[in-house]
Amino acid sequence: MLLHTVNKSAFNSGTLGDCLRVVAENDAVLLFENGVYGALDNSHGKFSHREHIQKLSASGTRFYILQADCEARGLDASALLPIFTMINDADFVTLAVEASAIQSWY
Amino acid sequence: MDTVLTLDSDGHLAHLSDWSEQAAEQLAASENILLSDAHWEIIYVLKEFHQRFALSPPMRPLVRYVAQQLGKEKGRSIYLMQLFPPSPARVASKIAGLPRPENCL
Amino acid sequence: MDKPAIEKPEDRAILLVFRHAPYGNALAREGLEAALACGAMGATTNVLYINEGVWQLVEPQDSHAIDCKNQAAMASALPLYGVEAIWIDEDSLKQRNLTSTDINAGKIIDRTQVQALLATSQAILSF
Repeated sequence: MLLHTVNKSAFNSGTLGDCLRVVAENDAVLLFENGVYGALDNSHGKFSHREHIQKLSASGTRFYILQADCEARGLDASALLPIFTMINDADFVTLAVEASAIQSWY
Repeated sequence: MDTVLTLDSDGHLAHLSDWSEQAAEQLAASENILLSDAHWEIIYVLKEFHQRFALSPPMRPLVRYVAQQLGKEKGRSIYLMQLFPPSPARVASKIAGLPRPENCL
Repeated sequence: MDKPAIEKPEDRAILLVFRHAPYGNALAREGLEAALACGAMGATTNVLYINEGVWQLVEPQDSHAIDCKNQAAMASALPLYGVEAIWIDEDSLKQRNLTSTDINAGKIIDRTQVQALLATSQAILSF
């Protein structure tokens, strides 16, 4: 299992899209820092990765989001795609240890 | 008569453009090396390496490149060690006027 | 006395992922230096050019007037440093209308091969 981390907003960077294009079904994706904006359920047009995320999730990819970064930015869980699991720093460490390697998209 | 060379903190030429064969002899003397044809051949291969790749090679790449350019007999660490002791990549690049190799082991 | 177990180099393959264009910031240059260092120390090293990183492969480059080291020239030394596994993401080339004739080295691979490369690497350094 590879852990992909994304820390750039999907609204001004192609980073999330670049990541999703090569994510495999066994992998995990973690959005943190400004990357958390990529989990918003109500974004539109080219900024929305909803369908891609849903498709990957259906094939087994796990999606996580760092709670502290959401809280800091005023993003409530209700605004996010329900596919995302909120995790804390300790969970992040556990994921990192579990992963065969980490690809950080920045 | 030796001219005063501007060196960096590693004893390498501060400006590659200051290099001349006379400067090379002076730099070699500071390493207790008297340059022979066998030395010059390597020095010019090193200068070519730097010209081509914008890098000062550490040992392994230097050995490979010398093997490519001058043949397998010379592309051996023992051969280079005899010419430029005790650390051929560092000593030869110093004499060739190149910066100290990064990643030098 | 037991011999210490020595890991084979291939058990520790490092993948360096180059995702940024050259010259605009230090990432491409630092990535390349990291790859050269890995190679010089004998580590089994793979390099992947993907996304904006594929711009690093375009030739000819003349960085003289912007006072930077020529990245393409440095990259061409990778095989001499023992880094021969150089991979290029096909989709990233296509998106930028680049073809194999525009680039200076490496083997073009598709998305599935990129996934396999990521999955089999022991450590990934992204630049």
